[in-house]
Amino acid sequence: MNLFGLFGYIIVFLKALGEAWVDVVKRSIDGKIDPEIIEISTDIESFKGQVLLASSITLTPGTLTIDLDSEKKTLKVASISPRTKDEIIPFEPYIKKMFN
Amino acid sequence: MLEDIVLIIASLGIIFASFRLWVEKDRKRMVYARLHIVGVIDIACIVIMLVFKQYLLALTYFILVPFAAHAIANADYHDELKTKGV
Repeated sequence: MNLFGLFGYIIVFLKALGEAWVDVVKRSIDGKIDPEIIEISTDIESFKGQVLLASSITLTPGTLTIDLDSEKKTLKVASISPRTKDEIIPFEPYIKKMFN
Repeated sequence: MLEDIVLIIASLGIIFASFRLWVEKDRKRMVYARLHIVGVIDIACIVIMLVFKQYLLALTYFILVPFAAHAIANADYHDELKTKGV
């Protein structure tokens, strides 16, 4: 396991976690909720990496992994508002680094 | 002092999130929206556990939360009992 990738992943993930938490609390107050299902492709080859990615997405408030297709390397992700791939998985490069 | 501030912020987050869970009406894909909001409560609970130095409990919760949420979302997505058009 690549340590640099691990540290980078932890930092970026915690940052995303904090930001997402505040964002969903704001949405809880003003009610701007527009759930959407998005299909995302990923570059991560290993199954462990894909599971970690899916778990990270689910842990972050505002995004939720519904399905993971390991062969096709795609995830179905529910998002609390329309989002781009980079907004949903800012930590993907680090996970890729961790699992080569 | 810092601990008190963190506790207050986390608690407020739980209150606001719970309010939205209570108030929001059913509509398209609301199951996922509710799971998102419950995610806020989960993170707040983990932070509170850390503040009270229950590290092992917080870690356990941290690991189990995404799998529970994923299982619920996946089950709803593939729900064959759901009537068409809902």
